[in-house]
This record gives sequence, structure tokens and C-alpha cells, in this order.
Amino acid sequence: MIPGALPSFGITLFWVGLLVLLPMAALAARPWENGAGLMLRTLSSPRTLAALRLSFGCALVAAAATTLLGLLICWVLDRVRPPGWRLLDGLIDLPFALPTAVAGITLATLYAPTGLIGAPLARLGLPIAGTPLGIVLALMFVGLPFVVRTVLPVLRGLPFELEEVAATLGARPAQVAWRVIVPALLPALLTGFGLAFARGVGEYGSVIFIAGNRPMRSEIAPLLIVIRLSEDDYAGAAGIGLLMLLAASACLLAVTLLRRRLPALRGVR
Amino acid sequence: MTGNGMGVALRNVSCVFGRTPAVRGIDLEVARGEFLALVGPSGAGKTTLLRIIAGLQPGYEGSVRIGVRDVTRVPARDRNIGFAFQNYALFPHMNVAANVAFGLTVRPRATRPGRGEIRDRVEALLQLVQVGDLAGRYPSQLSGGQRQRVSLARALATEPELLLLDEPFGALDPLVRKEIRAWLRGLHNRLGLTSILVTHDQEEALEVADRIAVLRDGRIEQIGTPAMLEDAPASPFVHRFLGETVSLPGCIVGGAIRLGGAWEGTGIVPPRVSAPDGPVLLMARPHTIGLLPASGHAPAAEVAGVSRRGAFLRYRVAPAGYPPESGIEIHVPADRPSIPVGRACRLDFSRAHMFPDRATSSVSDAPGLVTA
Repeated sequence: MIPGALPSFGITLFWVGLLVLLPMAALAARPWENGAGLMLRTLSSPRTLAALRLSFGCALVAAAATTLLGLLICWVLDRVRPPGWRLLDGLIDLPFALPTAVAGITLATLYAPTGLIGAPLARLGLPIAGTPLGIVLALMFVGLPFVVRTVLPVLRGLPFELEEVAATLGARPAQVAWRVIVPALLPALLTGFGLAFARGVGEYGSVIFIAGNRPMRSEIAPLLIVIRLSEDDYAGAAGIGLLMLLAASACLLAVTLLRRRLPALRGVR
Repeated sequence: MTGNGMGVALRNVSCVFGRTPAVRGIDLEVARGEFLALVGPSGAGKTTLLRIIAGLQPGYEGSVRIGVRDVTRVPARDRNIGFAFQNYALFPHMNVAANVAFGLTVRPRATRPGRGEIRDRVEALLQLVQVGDLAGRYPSQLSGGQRQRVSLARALATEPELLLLDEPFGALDPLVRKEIRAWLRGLHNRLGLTSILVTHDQEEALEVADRIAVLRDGRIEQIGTPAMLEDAPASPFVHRFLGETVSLPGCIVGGAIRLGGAWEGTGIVPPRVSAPDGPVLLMARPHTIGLLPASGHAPAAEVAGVSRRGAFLRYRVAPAGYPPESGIEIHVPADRPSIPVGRACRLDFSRAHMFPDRATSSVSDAPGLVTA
């Protein structure tokens, strides 16, 4: 056996058990305290369903958009390398470090109907704040580093010769991108997408300021949990929480399964 | 060489990286059907030159012709070349068949062969490079030799006018390397290809190439057949680059060559030459130097050490009274009677090449004098 394997495994198990599994078990146990019937009724209320639909829908759209944007940014950071790309590289991580509420307030101020960007857009008939578009925007902001940090190292590890050999074989630049680079990056893109999506579903701080939070229209599920908590409806809050946990886990599982079927990983296993 | 006979022609090609010129003023012609090797130490510009021919190197001057076309301003994708990289550069997410088919499947619809035809062509190519049963494998499941064969099949799929090989055997182990380069040379002949090979391994170049261009500091130091380069190296640099070299100082006095320094009078030298008096460098291969018994009271060299290596005995020979480190190495077939350490002897340096001795070897790029 590898020296130190046993204590390392023990610590890992302890950590995962205490900090991950235990709270989740508590979450799973909580919703049923007022009876399963009441629980299901709360969960199937139109307001809850609308909030869940909004959270998952916006997270999906934002993750997809972030993945495309992230791919482009990675390409620029690694292959174009404009002057100052290192600074740009550092800026990508800012959403990781920034308190999400700060980001939320900033975005809300910018995109408010009176804001710097919000005002001209509102005049064009495209209000951002208080709409799902605003939510998607906030989620893209927090999701971007997840995509860039998973895709960029893989792109860096992709030999430039692949692109050159494709060119010598007659491929046009678009064909090189589409048939050589994107397929080779697909596993990383999928992981980045999954992370950005999972983060987006649960994102709270950066969204509530820009979302407007009108029930049925722009109220996200995490906010509804907070509202239920403030009403001392712990079972209701835990119920929504559990549902989100299950859905997010299912999505991550799906991403993992899909990833393993990709040809780019063929033979690696 | 004009018209149909022309494979590649470079005219005054230069390329500068930042402020250091990588390739300077190169003129080079390769006949159709020829196998040319570009050799030289790292940094000599051989890979840069190959990339210029391929169209992968932006920002060069001069003109490049492939066949009858001037391709100076033509991007790599339209040059109709095949390129093999040292790291193979196989597409990791495609299986072997898809890798080989790539060059055909990216063609515009009008010139793209049908699916069936592509499949047949890929199969034939995989047979040709002797990996017919690996079509469904992925690159990560292949050995180095198999990967290089696949990368060659992929390069040949588009029926290129010119095959460019950048250190294609560099990452292979020695036995596989020897086998695959002999096979490649056979393939070149069978398909009537025009090929340019970049290598830093002079032995490889001597074995496979019709002609060799020795590059140094971005210039062609000498170009010729392997026999020409071996029999008449143009400079000490070429002599040293092509193999193990023994170098002794000497001088010409009144048309006669004499060994210089501590070696004076210790051996036979090339016959009289018509060259101006002055210092010269005598260069030979360890196996072209003869070891003779000492005669009378002439100054002698001394066997300072001997070791067996394969079919040769390696003698270390130094001027009498000098330490072994100041000596030279001489290889004698092991079936000759051995000479004991400490025995006085004379050198047969008559097959040595002679070059004018400039104070610094970096300026010795003028053609040297060669003795019979």
C-alpha cells in the first residue's frame, strides 16, 4: 500500500461526510415534517414551479452562452495573444473573488432603466433589469470563469501542429476550428458548461438585485427559499432546496455520462 | 532543371525572427522525384526552411516554386503538400481512418470524392503504410512507429506534389527508426514522390537521401550527394558534422604538407598540393587513419590506450612523451594484430582532407582544398 494512503483516505472520507453528505442528508430529511401531502402541494404551487422554471431555464441559457463566449475568450488568450493578454487572463477570475452581492448591485445599476447601459437599451424597447434577460446576464458574469478555467488549460495543451497539419491537408480556417479544435475541446467545454450551469441554478447574490423579484415573473428559486425561511416555513424551503439539489445532480451526472462517450476521450481511458 | 523536371525551387529566401536571421539568402532546387535531406545542428534554420516551403512560416522574403507554380503568396492549404511532424500531430479525437480521410473530407463538395471512394482510398493507404488492421483505433492506442505511418498515410491521401518531413523519426527508438526510414525510402521510390527530409541525424540523411544540404547559421554550407559530401567536404564544419572527426594542425611549406606542433614528423601526410604556403587543418575519420610501425629514429607517436568496440579496436595515440589526453583516436578493424600500449608507431594520415586553417573556425566557410 502507498505510504500515508490510509490516513489520507480517512481525512477525505471524514471531510466529504461531515461537510457534504451530512448537510445534504439533513436537507433531505427536513421537508417531510409536515407530511408528504402538504409538501407536494407546496412544491407544485404555481409560484414554486415558476421560480424553478426560471432558475433552471436562465441557468441553461446562460451556461450555453457562456460556453460559446468562453471558447472565444480562450482562443484569444491562447492563440491570438493580443498585447495585455495576461491582464485579461487575470480579469477573468474576478467574478470568483468579487462578493456576488457587489457584482449584483453593479450590474443592477448599469442595466437599470436609468443606468449607463440600461437607459439606451430601454429606449430601444429592450429592458434588462427585472427581466429574465437580466438574470441570464448576471449568470453569465458568474459562470464565465468556470468555462475559461476548464477550457483554457486543454487548449494550451493542444499542440499547434494539429492546426498546421490540418492546413497542409487543405482545411480552411473555419474547418480547422470546427473539425479539429472544437471536437478536441468538447470534453472540457462540456465540463465548463456543467459547472457554469450548476453554479447558475443556485446563484443568489448577483441575481436578486437585477432580477426585480416579481413572483411568477422574475423570482428565482433560491430567492423563494429565502422567502420561505423568513416566513418560518422551514419544510417548504427545504423542499425547494431538495428539488434543486436533485435536479442539479442529475444535470452534472448527465454531463459526466455524455463526456465519457466523446471520441476525444476514446483511448484515453 | 526546368519545366516538368522541377520539384521545388527557392530563390533568395530569407526569414528573420525578431532580429536574428533564421534563414538567409537560400537558393535551392530539388528535382522532381528527388529525395533531399536538410541537415545541420539545431538552430541552423532547417526546420524554418521546411516550414517556408510548406507555407507555415509567415513573413519570409524571396520566392518559392513548387512544380510549375509560384506559391510564394499561396497559403499552406493550397500548396498541395504533405507534411509529417516529429510529434505526428494526429487528431486525437478521430480514429485512424478518419485521420487519413481528413484531407479528402475537407475538400469543397465539387472536388470531394464520394464516401465509398474515400473509404477505399483510406483502406488502400493504410495497406500501403502497413497498418491496415488499425483503421478503427485511436491515436493514443498506437505505438510511435504506427503513429508515424498513419501520419504519412494522412499526408499522402491528398496525393501531394511534395512530401515534407520534419524530423519524422526523431521520437522513435533506434531499431524502429532504422526500419521505418528504409521503408520510407522504398515508398518514395515506388510512388515517385518528391521529398524533403529535415533531420539532425547525419547518418539518417546519408542513408536515405539522394542529396544532402548541410545548413549552418541559416545558409547552405554545402549541397551534394552523400558520396560527394563524404569524399569532398567543403569545410571543416561539414567534415565534423558528417561524422566522427580527427583534426590535426599542419602547414604547407613549398607545396609540401607537414604535420604541425607536437605531431611534426610523426606520420605520412597527403602528397604535394598546389596550395599557397600557410597553416592548414588536416581532418580524417578515425577509421581512415592508418597505424604503422615506427621506423628508425624518426619522431614517433605512442599508443596510449586501446579498447575494443564492436568490430573495431579503438587506439588512443599521442605524440611520444605527451599525455594521452592530447592524443587522437584511431579505429582499426579488430581482426588486425593488436598493438600493445606503449609501443612507438607512425600515423598514416594520407587519406586526410586538408583545409586552410583560419584563426577562428567560424569564418572557414569558403570551399576548402581537398587532397586526393
